[in-house]
Amino acid sequence: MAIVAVEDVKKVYPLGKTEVHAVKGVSFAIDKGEFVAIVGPSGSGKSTILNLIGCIDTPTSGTVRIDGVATSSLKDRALTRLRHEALGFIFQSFNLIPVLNVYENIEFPLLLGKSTTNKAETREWLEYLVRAVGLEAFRKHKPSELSGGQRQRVAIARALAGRPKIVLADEPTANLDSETGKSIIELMRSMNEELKTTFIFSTHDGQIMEAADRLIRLHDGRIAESASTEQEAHAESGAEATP
Amino acid sequence: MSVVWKIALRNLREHRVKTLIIGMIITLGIAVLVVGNSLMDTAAEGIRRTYTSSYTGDFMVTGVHRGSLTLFGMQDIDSFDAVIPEIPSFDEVVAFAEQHPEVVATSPQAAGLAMVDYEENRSYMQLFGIDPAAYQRMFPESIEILEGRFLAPGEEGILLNAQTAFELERNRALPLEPGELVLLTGMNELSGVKVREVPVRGIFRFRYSNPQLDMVSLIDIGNVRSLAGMNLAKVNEAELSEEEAALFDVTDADALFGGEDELSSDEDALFGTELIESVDVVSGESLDESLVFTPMEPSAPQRSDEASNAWHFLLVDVRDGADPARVAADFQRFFSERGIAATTSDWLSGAGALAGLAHGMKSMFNIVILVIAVVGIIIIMNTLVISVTERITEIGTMRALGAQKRFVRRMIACETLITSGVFGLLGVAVGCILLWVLNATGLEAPNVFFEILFGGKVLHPVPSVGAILTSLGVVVVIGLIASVYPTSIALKIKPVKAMQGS
Repeated sequence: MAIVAVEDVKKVYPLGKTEVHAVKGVSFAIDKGEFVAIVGPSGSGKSTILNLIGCIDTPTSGTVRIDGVATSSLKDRALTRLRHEALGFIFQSFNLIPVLNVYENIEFPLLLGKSTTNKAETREWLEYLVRAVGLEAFRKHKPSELSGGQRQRVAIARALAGRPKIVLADEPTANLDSETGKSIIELMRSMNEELKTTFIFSTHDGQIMEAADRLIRLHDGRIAESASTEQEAHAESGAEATP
Repeated sequence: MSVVWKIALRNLREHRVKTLIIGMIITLGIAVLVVGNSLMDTAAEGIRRTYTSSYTGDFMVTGVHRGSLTLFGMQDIDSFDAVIPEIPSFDEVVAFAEQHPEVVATSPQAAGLAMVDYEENRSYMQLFGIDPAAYQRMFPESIEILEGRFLAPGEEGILLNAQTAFELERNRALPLEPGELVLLTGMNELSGVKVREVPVRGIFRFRYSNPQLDMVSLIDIGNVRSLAGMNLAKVNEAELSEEEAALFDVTDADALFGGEDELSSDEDALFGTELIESVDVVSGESLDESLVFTPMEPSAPQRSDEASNAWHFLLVDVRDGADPARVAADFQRFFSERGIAATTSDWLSGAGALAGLAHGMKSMFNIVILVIAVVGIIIIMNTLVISVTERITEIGTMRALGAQKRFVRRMIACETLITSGVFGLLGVAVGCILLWVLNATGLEAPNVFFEILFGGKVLHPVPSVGAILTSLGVVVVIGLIASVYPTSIALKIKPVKAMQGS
């Protein structure tokens, strides 16, 4: 069963006296453990789709299902609980909590609900994440004392702290240089493979597109095409072979 | 430490300039509140202690009346000259008071106003008619005899207030001495004008006084009854002689005072020997024949049956630790069961306008505090609103990561409570230090108004537990009210704001 199902979703934003149709009837599904990139030019609706999957926005019509649960029927409290239990977020601007240090930022999502594991296990898990993102030496540092890449590493660890089924990443490399971006992508890919967590990106970054299992291309609020990167590579090589 | 407290504390530290600005406002406000309320409480307690131990007792029994009745008489503008009701069934009331286990002393009293003449000098004074023995038992420390002695039981005479004596001694080479006679003139609705010649037994001053009390002289009850018309029942129809009736029938001013031609003869008619000769200045020996001059009601008033026992007030002192209100309630029940038209009033009701004014100052001070509190709320609220709007992305991120609205609410409440609590306690400490200094140095009253307010010439304020608790309560309420609007803004922040970046 698809872990994310988007069924004929439309999203209309009021803009003064007019309406902006950001998403115009989009349908797709993403399976557990996939590493998927939603791509498209600015204004194509990729961030809107990510917000709808992330339960931080609601569709005007259509259905978004997360692990089989239709999100449009849920109230704020249930949506918040769903976000807390099933989703992890990585933001373009990192969005770390400035007054908490590296360890505390990673721990933060675990403190928002009742813990299902004991303290020792939790500490061990958090230590693993700190090591996994290579920030052992910076555990007591505040976000303001870290570089952009280090901040995004903290954000990745934080997104994974609650062992979510899905991690949503909005332009995670947009504010990073190319080298740092590459290492971040490698980190996310390794976490995807190791923890079998589903990663969904909205991005312009070619490096992420290359790393993704599948691309969902949006254009003007509609799906332009959805294909695996292998299919795309095959299509591209076929085109090249055509005289 | 919970993450909410941790974030709140660190946010406050992070925005230390804003925190300090709010903190200083709170500290200053609370210090003012603690000092002000402690001053008021010390002054109010001083006034209460002074009045109850020196003038009013813990409560007083009076006849049933309308309006505001004090030991100085009726205080309402429309009933200022109204007759003060006497306590009915006085013996029964005293008997009840004496057998009440919580009552330790009683003192009967009556009030009157009089003009006092001594040779060419004149003054006006308030008279407290007393039972000397009972008065001294109840208020042993209240007065200081400057010359002469206190009134002896059953003795006729007046104990002049030093202020009145001073006024009567103006332009005289020799001071007014005990044993000399003063002329008292009283006027009342029942018996008209009364003039009595009374021997001065002593000159005194109240240990704790104010301008209203500086006008009070103590006098034997017989004379005050006479001057206030207490020993006279209400007269029936006045029977006027033809000549007197003619005087009252005159409505034309010219006819009454005459033209130039008639002036001399009319002066004689009005102010000549005929009427003046009817004024009978009496001395103590003829006390019971007290009618002297009643131009408005010329017929002889009738003697009241209860004249020998007529009192306006019975001042009651309860034992230490007893609740005066509860004892007064026992009296009320007794009056109700026996059908006695008497009632009780607390010490403040009996103390008069100036004590009431001093007491009322606390209400005025509280209004000032309310204004300060409103200003404080607005400043704190504004700062919190700015703080929240600066953290929209942060709060949006928290919400996106799974923070429920109650988490955000608790976070802002914690920030407010920490600020209010820490700086509130600091304000209490500053206030207490200021009070300690004021207590050591003493706060001297710069004028009479402050003397009244302080209940004396120097105030040594002490921190009042009530003031401290009130201040802390106020700061918590201010904090909570100030956080309502910023919290509502924070709760409206949608998680999608996290996506909009910082």
